[in-house]
Amino acid sequence: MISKILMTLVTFFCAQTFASEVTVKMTLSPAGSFEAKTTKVHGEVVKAGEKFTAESLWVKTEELKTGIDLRDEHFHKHLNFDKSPKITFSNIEAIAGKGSGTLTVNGVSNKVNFTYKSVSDKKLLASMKVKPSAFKLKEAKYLEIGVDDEVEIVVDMDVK
Amino acid sequence: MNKAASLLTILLCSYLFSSKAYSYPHFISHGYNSCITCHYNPFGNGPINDYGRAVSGTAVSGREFYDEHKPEDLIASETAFFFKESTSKHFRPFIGFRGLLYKANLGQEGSKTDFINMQLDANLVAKFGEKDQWIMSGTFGYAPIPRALQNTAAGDAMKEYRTREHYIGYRPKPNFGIYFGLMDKPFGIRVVEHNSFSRITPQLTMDDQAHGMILHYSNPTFEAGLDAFVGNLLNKEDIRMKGMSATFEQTVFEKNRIGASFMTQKNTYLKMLSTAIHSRSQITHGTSVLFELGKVDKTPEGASPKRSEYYALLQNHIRTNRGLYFLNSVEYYKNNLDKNYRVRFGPGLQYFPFSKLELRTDVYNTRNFNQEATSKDRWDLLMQVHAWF
Repeated sequence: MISKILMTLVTFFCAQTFASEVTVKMTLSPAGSFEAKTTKVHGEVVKAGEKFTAESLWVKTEELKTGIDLRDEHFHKHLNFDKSPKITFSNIEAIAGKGSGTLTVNGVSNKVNFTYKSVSDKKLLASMKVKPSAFKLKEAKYLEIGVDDEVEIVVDMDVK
Repeated sequence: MNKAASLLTILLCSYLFSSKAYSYPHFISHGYNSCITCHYNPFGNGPINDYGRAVSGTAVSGREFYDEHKPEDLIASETAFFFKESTSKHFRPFIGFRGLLYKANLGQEGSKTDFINMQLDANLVAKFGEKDQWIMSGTFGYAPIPRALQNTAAGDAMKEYRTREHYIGYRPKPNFGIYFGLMDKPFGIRVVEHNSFSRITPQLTMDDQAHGMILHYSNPTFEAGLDAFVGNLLNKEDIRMKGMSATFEQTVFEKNRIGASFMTQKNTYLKMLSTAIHSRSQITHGTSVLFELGKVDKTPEGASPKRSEYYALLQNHIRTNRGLYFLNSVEYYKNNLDKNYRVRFGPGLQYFPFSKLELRTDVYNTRNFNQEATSKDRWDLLMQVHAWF
């Protein structure tokens, strides 16, 4: 048990050192929230002058974890992971703290704007808000607790 | 035994042997920053709703006792009343039991062991409306007379079978509700340890509910409550605490909540003014830290002097495995009429082997600090079983 406590502490203190990470933040109705995270982010962000570009960044839907197994199952099913196993953000261009790209979820693509800040020379932190309904995702509800139709996606990304 | 040690013993006996089920505010570590997600009562305690039952089975409890291939959805469905999903949209029964094995003064002469049935409650929630806007909840059951009140007039007036919560609630919108009835007063962090100084000092323990009206508001980053109460109408008029309380919490830096509380109440014998600040933080998934700092001014009627009491609570929970939590509490208590101050340290283990069962073991070390006298540390062992259906 002591080793697990130490692991928890190590995980906490190392949390800021992940190379790349995608966090999807959801708000529950009437109250509460949860996050789905993965550190397995595929693709590269390239810097050229002041401009950042990425051809395609993607994660496997099943690799987004919420910390509760049953919630993971529901979350992945809700995103139709069997038919759309990847969530892709492509054709990304960003400059001066703002950018845009094409987000594909559930087989539906939409142009999405985002803001970002440089955490360091080699790291970007981008944030965007999307509406799941715009990606033809049904209202998420389980035992009378729903998920709001606005989700924040935060991408913590290494820059090449 | 000196006076301070005697007082400490009375306090411990009064409140360790109590029997009220509060909520688990440390579940902010699972992303649940508000009680209303899992409880019918927006400030926690009492029966949990269908979602709360499912969370208790699939996030809070372990799964070592289940077949490894058993689907989580099936475990969730078995968390319903007596393992069977309700066919009624309107009614939700609930039965809860808490028992405590208590060994006081470990290692000391006269140390004794008691088993106390702290609680055996039956509850029924009725909910109506398209979105369950109307809620009625009533709890009735066995609750022991607090030891400090036994063989006193107040204790004699209490019944061992009684209701400690009944209310009607209306939520016209998901983020706003109004509740009437007998409820706990919203103030500070409603920790499950009603023997903590943060519950004892402002008088928010197992039998301190009051009839009144509570307004509750919440949005994703803010939550507030206001309670106007007239005391427990089942008690005699002169001991009913009447007044109001208010509390709020605000999310800061995403996974932390900070809050403040205020309460004024009085009866024929005592006037109290309580204030507190608190925070709750998720450190990692399953790991949290709670902190509360408070002051309570107590003004007795008559010649007794006014007393200011101060308390602090620091508590953390670390989830080591699914179902198993390692706890640590450090508490502080002081009042301005006494040179002593008390510090209590309590490591513990909380284990939910499967849904509907909680086992908990705590060891409390209580130390009384006095510049003019010394007293031995006190060690107590508490082993608790909590079952619900």
